[in-house]
Amino acid sequence: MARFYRRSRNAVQFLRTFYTNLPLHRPIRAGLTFNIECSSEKAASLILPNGATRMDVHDEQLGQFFNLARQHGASWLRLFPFTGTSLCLVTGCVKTSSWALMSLYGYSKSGGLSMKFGVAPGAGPITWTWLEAGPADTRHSTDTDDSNRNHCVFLRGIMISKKDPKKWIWRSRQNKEQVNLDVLGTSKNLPFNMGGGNSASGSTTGAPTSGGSSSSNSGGQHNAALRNLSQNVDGGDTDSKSVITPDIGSEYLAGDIDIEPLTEVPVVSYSSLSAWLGLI
Amino acid sequence: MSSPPPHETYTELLLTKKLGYPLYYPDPCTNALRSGWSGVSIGDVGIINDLGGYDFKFNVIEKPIIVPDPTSDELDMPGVYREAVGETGSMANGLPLHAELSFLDGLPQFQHIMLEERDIRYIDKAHHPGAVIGKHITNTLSVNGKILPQIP
Repeated sequence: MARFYRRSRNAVQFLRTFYTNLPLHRPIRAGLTFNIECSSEKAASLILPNGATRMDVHDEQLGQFFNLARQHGASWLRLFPFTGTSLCLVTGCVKTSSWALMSLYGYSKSGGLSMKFGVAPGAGPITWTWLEAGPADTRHSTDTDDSNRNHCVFLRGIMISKKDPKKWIWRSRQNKEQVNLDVLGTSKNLPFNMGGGNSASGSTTGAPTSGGSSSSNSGGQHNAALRNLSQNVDGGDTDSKSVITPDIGSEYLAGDIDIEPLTEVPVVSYSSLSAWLGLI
Repeated sequence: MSSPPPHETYTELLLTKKLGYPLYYPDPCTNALRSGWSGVSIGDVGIINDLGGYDFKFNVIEKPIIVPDPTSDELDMPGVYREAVGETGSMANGLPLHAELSFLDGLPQFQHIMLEERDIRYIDKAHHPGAVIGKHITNTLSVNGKILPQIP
């Protein structure tokens, strides 16, 4: 018998309130097509045929995760010495059961490019695929009937990396365990004071491999770092340099997608958590 | 000038949507799945690899367990709570998945963990629960070649 694996819900309890009776998943309908028109030489899109669920640690709790990363980041990095220079502690994600994505670069033909994602015609099992893609690079999930939303399309979290070796020399005299902490992929204001002297920085980095992430060294400088909360990526995309709205939700509501709360805030008692962790 | 790898363009453009770091390989990595992982979840520690995927290492707040197979009713409600039937003694990359080893300097001191969940979908729920997120594109939804009224 195939085992179905799922995470323990002991540590994080969900009290779900559905505001709509609509199912989160609908069967594939033949004839349904997503049409994408690209108007630029550079374009990217993500199609979520069954929507997605966005999960976040509550604002007030983010401080715990930062403290955890600050405290244990160095030892975690030592556990994986050969796999890279930075680790990501996840504090939020967008998960879905089915997706299709495309990436286009250097398309210069005038008139734009038309792409289609939908049900392939013909007999056999009904599956979604890219019907027209042109020169774009495309991917899509193989199992669009998967009701478990365990495909992660967006990730938010804390990047833990080693301190700059050049600065390591003098820092090592104070504390060998210091690490860099960067906010990954979010424009959200961090609703807590980082504190803790210069053991963590509040700078942001868009791409962990970009190598250009600046760091502000003291907790008191955290607000200054927040003003730079834009995506730190190379490239000439002027839109990315627009004014940053701190609240993701309201900004997104103005766009083409609705984000609505699905759950009430769950609470887990400290005693049950510490019992699990073997503290008592 | 050679063009950058597709995942770099994708990540660069969709970062501006402010939903997070876009993964070009959203599929859960199968190696970790086999050891009881169920896709990215809060508290995971891992690595974003060169392809734009997430390599899970361990989780700081949860221990994976085995629960019975879901019934067909429950498939419509992914968040429904199920009683565990046992713990996995699983290993990921040679390390126990549970927290003890990952905290060489002591166990974490968590207060209440509270999660917010939101649904991402078209506002017009009557048509389809889907959604399209993109940069430098316009999108429409059509049924049998007939374009539906513009999704807001």
